[in-house]
Amino acid sequence: MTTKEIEALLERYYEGVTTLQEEHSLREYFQRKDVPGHLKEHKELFGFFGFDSKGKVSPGFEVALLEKLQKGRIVRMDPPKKRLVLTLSLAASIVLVAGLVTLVRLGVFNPSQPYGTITDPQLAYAEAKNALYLVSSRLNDGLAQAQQLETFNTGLQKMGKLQSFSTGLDELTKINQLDKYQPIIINPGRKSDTRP
Amino acid sequence: MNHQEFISQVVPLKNKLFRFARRYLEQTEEAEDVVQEVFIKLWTRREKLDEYRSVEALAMITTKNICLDRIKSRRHPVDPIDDHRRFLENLPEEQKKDYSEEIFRVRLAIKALPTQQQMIIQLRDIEGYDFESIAEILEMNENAVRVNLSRARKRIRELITTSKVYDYQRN
Repeated sequence: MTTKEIEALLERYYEGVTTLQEEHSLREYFQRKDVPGHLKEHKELFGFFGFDSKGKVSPGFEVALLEKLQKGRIVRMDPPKKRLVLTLSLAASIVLVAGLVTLVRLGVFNPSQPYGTITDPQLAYAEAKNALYLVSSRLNDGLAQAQQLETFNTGLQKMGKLQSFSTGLDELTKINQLDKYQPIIINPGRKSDTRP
Repeated sequence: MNHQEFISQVVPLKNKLFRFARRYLEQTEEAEDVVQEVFIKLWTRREKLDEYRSVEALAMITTKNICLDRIKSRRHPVDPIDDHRRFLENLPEEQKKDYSEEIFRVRLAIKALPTQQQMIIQLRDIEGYDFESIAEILEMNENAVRVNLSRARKRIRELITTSKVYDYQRN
């Protein structure tokens, strides 16, 4: 291929209109050692393409890959964080289930001794009444204690008077306004000092 | 697609996928990780792979999506100096002797392009895909691919030339 032809091809190459075949012959041409000086920069470019197309995975890659594929050890490749959460939640649920199983086995949920039943209706009525009495008497005890809260209430009412104190304070803040005018009051003739 | 077909048709894409991922991530180790992830994803769906018109395009699209996800969740940008050091360290022996300042210059110029233009250069000038496939992989229309390819090529030329002028002035 003549230099002229190469130049024409190069022009089309930079316009992006060359065919794969033409690009191949360009690459081949620039492998020569005796490329004219004005085409050197293109030689660099095509030299790079030739160099980079030789890039390969490291030698052990395929063996390791095939081993992985054939062992069937294909786990979904989740990111490490996701995997950690998954593992932890799995561990937690195992502990939970194991715990529940032990509790059931120990018989916590169905005690072997029932509290007993009363067959005689009369007696049952009396027992129930007794139980309710017990509850209500204790309830009254509690209520009596609660009565003391009343004194707390009275205290609160007295504290209400503090409100008027706070109104008084509000009035006092107006004194603040005085501060603003203080410089003016103290130094009434300040401006006149600067006069010549 | 059975095991054997997967191994003979999909796994050989590894280097192409790796270079594509490396262009996105600018990191060799991470790019290999991504390629492995892509294969595992495709492997779990291998019964359905025959339904696709092109498994290669599917693999490339999957690579692109994983890379974009990884870039999005990055906390720190890649350190260019550290990246360059690791790039050289990870270069296979047979490639090391071909590495030169000129290669470095072009590599930098490509990095300076917008991501989409970098990918178009990668797919066209390095991998030799036709416009239809590039449009499919990058999910854009063919015309936009052509326009951006031309822009990218011209911009690289410009950057190479200016960096040379800079070198000249500095010396």
